[in-house]
Amino acid sequence: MAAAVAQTLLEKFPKAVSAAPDFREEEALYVIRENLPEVLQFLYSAPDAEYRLLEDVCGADYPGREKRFEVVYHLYSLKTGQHLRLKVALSEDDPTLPTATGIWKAADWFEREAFDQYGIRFEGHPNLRRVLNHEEFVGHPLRKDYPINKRQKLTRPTNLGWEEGQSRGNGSGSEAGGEEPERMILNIGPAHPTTHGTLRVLARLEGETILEADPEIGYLHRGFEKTSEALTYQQVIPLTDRLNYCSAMMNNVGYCRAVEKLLGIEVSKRVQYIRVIISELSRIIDHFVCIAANIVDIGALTPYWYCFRERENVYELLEALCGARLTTSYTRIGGLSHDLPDGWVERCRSYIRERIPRAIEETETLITKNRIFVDRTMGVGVISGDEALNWGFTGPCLRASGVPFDVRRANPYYDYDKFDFEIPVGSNGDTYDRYLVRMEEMRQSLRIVEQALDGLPEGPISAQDRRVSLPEKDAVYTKFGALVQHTKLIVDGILPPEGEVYSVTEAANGVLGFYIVSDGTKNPYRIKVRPPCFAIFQALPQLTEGNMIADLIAIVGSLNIIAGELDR
Amino acid sequence: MIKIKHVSPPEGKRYPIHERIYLFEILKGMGLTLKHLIRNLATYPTKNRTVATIQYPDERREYSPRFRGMHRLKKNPDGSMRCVACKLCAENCPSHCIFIEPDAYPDPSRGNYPKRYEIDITRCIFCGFCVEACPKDAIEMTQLSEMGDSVRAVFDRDFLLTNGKEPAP
Amino acid sequence: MWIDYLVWTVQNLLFPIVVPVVLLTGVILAVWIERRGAAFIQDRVGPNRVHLFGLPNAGLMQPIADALKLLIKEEFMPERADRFLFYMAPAVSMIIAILTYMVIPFGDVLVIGKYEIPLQVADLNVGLLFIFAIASLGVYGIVLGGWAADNKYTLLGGLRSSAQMISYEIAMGLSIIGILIVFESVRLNEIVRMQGELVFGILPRWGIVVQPLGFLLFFVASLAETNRIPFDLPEAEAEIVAGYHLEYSSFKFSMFFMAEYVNMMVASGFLVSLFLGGWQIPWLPTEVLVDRVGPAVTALLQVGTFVAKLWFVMWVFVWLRWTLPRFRYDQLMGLGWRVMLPLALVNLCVTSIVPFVLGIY
Repeated sequence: MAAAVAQTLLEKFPKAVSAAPDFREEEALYVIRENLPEVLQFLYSAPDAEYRLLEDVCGADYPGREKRFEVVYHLYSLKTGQHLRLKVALSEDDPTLPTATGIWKAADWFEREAFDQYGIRFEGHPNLRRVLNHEEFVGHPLRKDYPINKRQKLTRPTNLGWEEGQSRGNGSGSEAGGEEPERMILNIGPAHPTTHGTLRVLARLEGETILEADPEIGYLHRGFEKTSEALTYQQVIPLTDRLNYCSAMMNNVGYCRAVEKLLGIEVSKRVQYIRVIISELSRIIDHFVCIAANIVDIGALTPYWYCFRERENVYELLEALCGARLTTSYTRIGGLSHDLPDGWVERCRSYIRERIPRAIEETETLITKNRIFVDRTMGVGVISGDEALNWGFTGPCLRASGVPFDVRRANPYYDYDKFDFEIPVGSNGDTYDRYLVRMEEMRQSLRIVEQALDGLPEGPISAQDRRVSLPEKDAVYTKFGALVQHTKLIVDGILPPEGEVYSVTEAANGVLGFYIVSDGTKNPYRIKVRPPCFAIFQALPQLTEGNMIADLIAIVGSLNIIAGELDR
Repeated sequence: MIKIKHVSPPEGKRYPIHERIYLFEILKGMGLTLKHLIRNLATYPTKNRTVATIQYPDERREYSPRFRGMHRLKKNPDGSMRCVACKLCAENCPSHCIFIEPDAYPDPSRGNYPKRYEIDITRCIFCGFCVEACPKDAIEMTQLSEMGDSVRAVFDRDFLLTNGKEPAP
Repeated sequence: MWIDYLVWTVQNLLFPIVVPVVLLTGVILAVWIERRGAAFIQDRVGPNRVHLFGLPNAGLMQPIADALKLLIKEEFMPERADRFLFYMAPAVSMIIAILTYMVIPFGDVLVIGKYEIPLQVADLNVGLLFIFAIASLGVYGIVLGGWAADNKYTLLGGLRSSAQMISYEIAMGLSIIGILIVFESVRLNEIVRMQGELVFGILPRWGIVVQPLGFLLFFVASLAETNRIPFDLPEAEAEIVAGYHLEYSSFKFSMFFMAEYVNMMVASGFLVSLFLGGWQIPWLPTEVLVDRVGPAVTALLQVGTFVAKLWFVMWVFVWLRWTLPRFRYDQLMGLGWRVMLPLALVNLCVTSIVPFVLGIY
């Protein structure tokens, strides 16, 4: 299907579009900058394959080339279930590009990030400011000539930047001049009990109603992408733990899947099933966090403890598996680091049959039909399915708005198509639906884990490929050949072929994409993480304007913003 | 075949009246919390408590055998260090926190040993890659997790050799 | 002769000192119940580490440790805060809270020989109105505290609180009129005494039996008046980060903190006196007890009953806090004006008409 669209594009815009080398069965096209808007418009409205979801816009820096920068668009069509990659080359003295925000609102923050990290300007963008780095930052950190050790500190207090003459309010003190008397500027965050992670929302209020809300992120930006360019592929795995730290194993799985796709290796069935089990367990604990924290913000302080108690149990399972609860680093390229210990399967089964369902039931009893909660969340933060898709929503937030898109069903991997589970879909797109969708997803995840445990095959847990997997430790201690292979893999690293891949998994929050560019060396040339909540959080102004502060809190809680993933 | 389950209450219809009056759902919720309260209070003096609290430091949680705690340099049964300063652990470490300076044994048949082996604990992320990289089974991660110290930021070789217990020969 | 002086001293000097002290000690018990009760509801064990003289005491010393800690903390005041109001607000809160308690009876009149000692600090003839009048002033503490701290979050807390408390005072007042009609008196001791009678021959004539709707409305209104979940908007932690007492520290914060618990005890005492029979032991009126065991033991039993009922109501407050989410501002106001006010009026109508129709008045 994507080939058909690519053919159509090549025919329709013969001078503008050219095919990129085919690598791992992914469709990629080069587009000339001048024709980009019409190409994008054509793809958006092409009748046989409407690319309605803009998953990612990122930059890449190739200083050796004549046109140094490259902007990469990843599009997805729900109709055909295919991805498409568009690449636009830009030269250093004129790194400008027309914006895509007219077609997909999702491009908003992604383009801001490309501007922030590379200096690529997008003409027509409504709000081209830095998003991840602070406003006094000079330079563009992801460029290859920016030294990785250089730090820049923020020295001046924050400028609100809303209108000329606005005073510098930061949550305390009355405004001095330049403000209408009934309007109040309130700064919510970053040190606030309810913002999950370090976020900031600058709100202009009239009484308690929010007129404008301007979110700001970047407080937890640790430079994952820049750091990973200096490490080997295996060494990046512990860093991926810290992306979505509530469900660390899913990030491991997502990343390893991307690198395995780059290498072109298949993992064994046992590895696949175990990865499914740990992904679903991580999904359950992530949803527990979201629901419990959301409910605490709304005021019910007890279900939090019931949910987190079950998280503790799952953490014990994960600790028995790999030795750490949160910073798991369990998967390896080509497989897993350890096999399941004895008794793990029985323990897991007992937890998913008794304890976790009990916590879910108790939360349901306390919350779901409670009129106070229903009034607080029904009709609050409504977003329709089309709007959500346009903003780049994926995951439970999108499904709550009525769009039944789930990567596990649309592009199944790891035998997800053989498991019997349902996709919960809401209809109103409000906070209550997001809560209900997450509760139901937990139940479906329990079903998947049960089925995976029942069907767990035997087999090796590492790819039997000399270029990729470390040999068994017993062999390393005794045989010389294994020792040489071991040493070579650690010192030289894994050497994938040149090329690029984009691989998606269904993380707890939505589509977690990894775009990896390899130049044949042991360090990845470029890793771009497509965080699901990045696209979701940029829609906050639309979700909250017109609502009250109490609603803002409920909405932010229901979107499941995890700062580690948002800011990387 | 995608099976979809619709979760929200049907469009335009609200929950039935007995679920919309605050009172009954509130009483149900109160019943649940009371059940928790009574169960926790009743089992508190007994041996199988239902509260989730572990009274640290009087009680400790049991860690799994694979727990990644403080590092330990292992010794051979004859008391000598297993580490041969091959630097594979330093190479594999994602945070570059292991610093090794090799030196040769006086006896040329024995090879090298680390004159200086330091792990910078302020950088270590406890990922276990050093353990995975070691070809001599010379480093392991014990179950010690209480490493709080106001002075020691770097674990040097002698410290790493002597913490933890000796394995049976 | 000297006994007259003794009695006078006890009644006019001892009670006004002892009762506030007991109230403040009750705060310690209230905090303990809150924290341990919350913990056991939530599958955990509350504070249990503060030992007194090496002896574990199930966390009873924890509130005292907290109070000591609060006392020795650094006091600071925001630069542009209104100094006078900043100092005054916690004091107002605390004083009003304690003052409201003065008319609540915790035992019947103690008759020893020819001396009558009413077991309440002040037996005013407008007891009920006094409580409402003084409790209305309690709003000032919160509003001034929110305003004085020169912080937008506290301002929001103060605003929300003022609107909330004023709205629910109306519902509270109207729900009481039913009681007034039934018991035909404004003096609290009279009301409690009249709850010793029997209805239908077996049920004690407690307020809750003759005015169930009034009880419910009053209970909800007192939740709102004391800023407890589900009505704790003024101090909603998630939204406005501790609300009106955000900028206070050390002793002023402890004043606010204790004032909240004292308010809870006042509301409980009020509820118990009006609806749950006060110090009345069911089926054992004062005369019977005095005949059996003498006046002193009667007084003790009655005070004990009152205290038990009061702490039961306090426990229900705590229980509700850890079960329910909180209302949003406009829903809270909607509930107060559009649900509780009409219900209170309906209650009033029914209470006026039914006895007239049945011929009981």
